[in-house]
Amino acid sequence: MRPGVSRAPAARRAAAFVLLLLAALWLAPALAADPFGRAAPPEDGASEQAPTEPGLLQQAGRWFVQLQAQVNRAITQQMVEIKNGHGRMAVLIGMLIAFGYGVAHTLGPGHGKAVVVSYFLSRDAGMRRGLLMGGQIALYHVLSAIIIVTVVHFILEAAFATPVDQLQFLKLLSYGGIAAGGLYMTAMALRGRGHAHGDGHAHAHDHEGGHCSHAPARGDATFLSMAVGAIPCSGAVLILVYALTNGILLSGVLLTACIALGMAITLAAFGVASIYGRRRALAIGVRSGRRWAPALARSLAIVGPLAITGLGVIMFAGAL
Amino acid sequence: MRNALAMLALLSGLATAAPAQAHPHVWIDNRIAFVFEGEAVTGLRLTWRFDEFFSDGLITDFDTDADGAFSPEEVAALQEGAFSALKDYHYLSRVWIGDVVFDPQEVADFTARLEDRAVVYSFVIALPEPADPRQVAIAAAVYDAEYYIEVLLAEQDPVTIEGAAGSGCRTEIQDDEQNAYYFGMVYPQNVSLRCDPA
Repeated sequence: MRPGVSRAPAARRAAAFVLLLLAALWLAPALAADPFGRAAPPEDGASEQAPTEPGLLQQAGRWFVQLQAQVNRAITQQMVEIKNGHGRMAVLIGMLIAFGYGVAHTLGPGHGKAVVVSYFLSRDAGMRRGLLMGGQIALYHVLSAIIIVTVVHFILEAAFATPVDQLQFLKLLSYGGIAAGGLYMTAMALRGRGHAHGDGHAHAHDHEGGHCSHAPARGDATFLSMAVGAIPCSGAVLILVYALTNGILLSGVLLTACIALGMAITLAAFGVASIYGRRRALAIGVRSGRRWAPALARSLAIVGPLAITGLGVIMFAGAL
Repeated sequence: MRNALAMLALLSGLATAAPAQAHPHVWIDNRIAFVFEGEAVTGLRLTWRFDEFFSDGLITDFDTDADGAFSPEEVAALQEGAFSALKDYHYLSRVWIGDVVFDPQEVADFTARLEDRAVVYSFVIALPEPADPRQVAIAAAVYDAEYYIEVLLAEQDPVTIEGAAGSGCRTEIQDDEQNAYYFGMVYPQNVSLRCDPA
């Protein structure tokens, strides 16, 4: 057997795959365009510029944004249908659209995909944790919407200038939380207490047995989920406001729950894909006795938390 | 009055610098008219037709007597309670007069009406001073850079000319890729007026 010869290319490909996944998922939303979603400064005579053929990525992005707009519009139209008394069928259709909205919403810009991917590439975690974190983020994202709407509706009836500041506060809290969580993870990794401490033993095995002395720090995943989810889901806010005002609260809550479910499943898919990608790459490295395997684990343990920190800092600065 | 007010509060609160939001949530079918007085363009008349959902919220809040129409008092309340907040967003409008960029701070002739359960706004953006389109290019774009609101030109007669002096002019619609927004994925529609030099 000459494992090194036959396996090295596959292993390198696997390692490259993991790093590319990390880079693409983190960098794409951060760098593909202005991370703050702001318009470019006005340019005179823009219409006189020679039109340039948009790239394939640009076309795909535009198609996706248009799809998202259509799903958004469909869900608002459905709320009007429900209000106009079109019965259970209208609510059921609404729930289906809401689920699709949750999926589209998560695939769209932002929404913690980058945090989830960075988190699970940086450390070995059980698949269960990958599934759970998606659910946690979705739950907090929607819970935050419910709390905001309750506050606006019942407490701040007369003072509508207030929620604006509170939302600004929430954004800073969320992004600051992401940055702080990332910093904490970075510090832990540097002190060798994180879980991918790269001691060379096969980290590709399943940790769910709980035999390891370095059991996963569950707290940081929960903390990050709360930070990511702290900003309310704007679609859920609108649906709930409308449902409250029109006395169809139950339908509003049902649709909101479906949004959360769609988000949770999509985010969980990202988490599981990251865990799987990481394991594959490291397992191939370890089996073929490559020396880069522990080095890759060590780098991921630092790069992942740094990516989370960077993301938090960029968004925090953008929200100031 | 909670519904639309809450939506607007959220508009300003959620939209700003929140990269994670899946927008849009409000839709406007927009029409632009270049208004001539004499030989010069004095302003732009915008007509906005809102989507069913946002319209429904506005109706709940502002058609206080629920007669399916806005009385002058109800229009005044709507202007005060829902429309005037758009001042902070220069009414989602940007006008180019030659090389000069103009972000409107004031509008005139605001009115709101109901058409098949859809709320329609109409108002005029006055140019800082009348501009002769034979001397200077006039263009406008109406969009929400935060993409909370999607403003699209209506399918039928999106751009028109008001006034006899504009009869020799034509209008043009172009996607303005230079000012792409929402992660560079959405292009404003730039509307321009072309008149042959006298």
